[in-house]
Amino acid sequence: MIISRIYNVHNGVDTAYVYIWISKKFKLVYIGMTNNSVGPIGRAEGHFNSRGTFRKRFLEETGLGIEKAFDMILLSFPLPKKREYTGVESSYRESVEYLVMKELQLQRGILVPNYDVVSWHDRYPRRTGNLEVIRTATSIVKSFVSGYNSL
Amino acid sequence: MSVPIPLEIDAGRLLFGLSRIGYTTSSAICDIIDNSIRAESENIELLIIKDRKDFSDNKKNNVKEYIIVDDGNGMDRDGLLEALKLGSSDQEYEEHSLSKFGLGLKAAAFSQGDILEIISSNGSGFNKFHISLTNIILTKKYAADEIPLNESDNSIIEKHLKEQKGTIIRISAIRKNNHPSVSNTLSELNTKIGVIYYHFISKNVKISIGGRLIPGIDPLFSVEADKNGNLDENEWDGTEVRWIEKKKSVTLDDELEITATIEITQLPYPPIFRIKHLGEAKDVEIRKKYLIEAGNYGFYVYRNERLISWASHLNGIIPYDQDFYAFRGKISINDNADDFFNIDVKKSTLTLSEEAWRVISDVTREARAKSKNAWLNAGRIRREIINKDPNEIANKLLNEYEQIEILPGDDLPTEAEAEKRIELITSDMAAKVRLIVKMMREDKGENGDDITDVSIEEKEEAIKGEINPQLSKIFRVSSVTDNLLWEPYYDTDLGNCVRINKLHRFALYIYENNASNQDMQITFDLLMLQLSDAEFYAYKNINDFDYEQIKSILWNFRRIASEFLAHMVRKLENELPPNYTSYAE
Repeated sequence: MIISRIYNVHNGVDTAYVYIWISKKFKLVYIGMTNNSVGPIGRAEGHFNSRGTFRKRFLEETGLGIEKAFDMILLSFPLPKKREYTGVESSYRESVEYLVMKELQLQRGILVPNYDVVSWHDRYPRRTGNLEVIRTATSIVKSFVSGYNSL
Repeated sequence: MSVPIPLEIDAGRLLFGLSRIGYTTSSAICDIIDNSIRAESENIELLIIKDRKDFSDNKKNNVKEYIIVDDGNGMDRDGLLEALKLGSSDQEYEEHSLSKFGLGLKAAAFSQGDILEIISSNGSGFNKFHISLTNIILTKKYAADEIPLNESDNSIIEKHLKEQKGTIIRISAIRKNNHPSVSNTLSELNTKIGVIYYHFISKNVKISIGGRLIPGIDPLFSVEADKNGNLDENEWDGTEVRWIEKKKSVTLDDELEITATIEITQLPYPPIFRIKHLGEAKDVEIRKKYLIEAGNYGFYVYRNERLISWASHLNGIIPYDQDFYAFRGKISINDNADDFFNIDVKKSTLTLSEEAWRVISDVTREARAKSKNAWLNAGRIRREIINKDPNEIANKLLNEYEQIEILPGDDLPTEAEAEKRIELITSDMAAKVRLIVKMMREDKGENGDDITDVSIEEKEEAIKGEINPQLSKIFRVSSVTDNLLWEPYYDTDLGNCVRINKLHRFALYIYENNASNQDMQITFDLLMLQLSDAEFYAYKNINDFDYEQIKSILWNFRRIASEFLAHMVRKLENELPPNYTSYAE
């Protein structure tokens, strides 16, 4: 019997998330955001299924199927409980995600073990100058950096 | 174990082959200047001696000699012989040296002419050696002749090397096989030397050609970027150099501790200068000043502060696309990163290792998008200046327009009822102004918590998105309450207005994806105003429901419509217009 304790990241009804998938063994980090009503867990299916972007990137980077990543960890960061972050219109969420991704790219060689960021934005989001967006992203990066070692 | 059998080397063919690895005249000269820099020279002088002095500089095949003189540390006789060896010892190369294979001097010299002469002194007296490629090919032996200094050598020493220390390289018997004209080489070198040795020239190394000092050129124009700040690709009008990425250190290999620094600027958008300075051809000036042309966009890679790759597209990281003309990246590495950059003998091209390519591609992905968007946005701004802003046109159309007071079939409310509703609307809007100012401040990255002190100008800017007297009814703003596509605004001065969230996905689609379709933008602006006016009409005139109920219903309608439109654009992005109309050229 495998028990997975999923008790705090499956409610996305009034909360959107930025989330980070990590495999330290394969040195990969994937950053995403979601307003999925079942949170990052609900969104995960789309990443891991046969057409999923994360599965695709994982394969490109490692040559392996994502099911081989036996140490995959999911970190979730709730965004402010506001319509700006939970709506279908995603500019606020995307901007937080972008700033987090950008900072984690710069941290890639500093944290141990190093990692490659395998998610990216083709479009530059438009609210990266917003103070709340910046503060939210900064706080996510801070938590990530301080907690990375102990993961 | 078998005994290795020595094999012959045909020095003539080897040297001939080496001289044909693809040096241009300017890259060959720069490779020789590298040696001067390595020798800690303060003054480096290039002399180009013409064959027929009476011919114009524009004539091809008219160079007799290239002479490079430096006042660096120089060499004694043994040092000279070492330098002339093919594959001169790398033990001579100090850390961070510009040298790499010990082949540069010979390969570069013989790429241009058949005779190389080298004269040098470290203070103990000048020695001179002469190598003839023709002789080497004939004899198949690599050898130098030691010969005495002649009158021309002595006059150069007297003029340039008064302290009896330094090196003279003379390349003669220049090949008359489509050899570039003097003016061609000069114009190429003036720019190339300035960029290649920018860091050394900034540290006071003086490089001149025929007595004319070459100024250093920072291909990123970082001093200007420092002055102008970071690039906001949605606001930038193309007139200034801006930072896309300030200097950042990137790890290429964590185990070997190989790092590189990357910095990126956006150079000006020349066509905007044609519009802003009509009849002055300023755009040509700008292209010249900032070297904006097809061969100059991309990454400038500096190794030990010497440029080794000019405007590289790094195996496709920067696409060959005019929209990237203003993109200038700089990657700085030390010699310990050589294996990641696979630098060739002539130090003019590099091939990235897969790992380095991936890291640089990832780290610069957004910068590329930013640069392209900024270029396109500057184009839009240019078109707007030419064509007049469609938002202003939409506002202007309304100057003479009067909204219907009451629709047929609707009961006109009593005066008391109408006044009460107006009072409720006004009080709601007064509260909204504070929120609008807060949102604007936060969008600017400022703290929006304390909004007790709001000037009239700030209020106007917050409501309208910009201070512009031409805008009277329809305002494109960066934030709307709850991130909806539009919201009504009312005050006694402006009357009924609409605030459109220009960063909402649907608005971006109208304003940016369809930037060239002004009619569509004007129509959209007018539609938004009519929807807002309709909402006011309901607040004022519909008495079947109370005010709070109407507010809630209409807010929900706006919320749902905004989300549906965002969703539709996301799902149908590539299918939506502009796609279906072919405009006549």
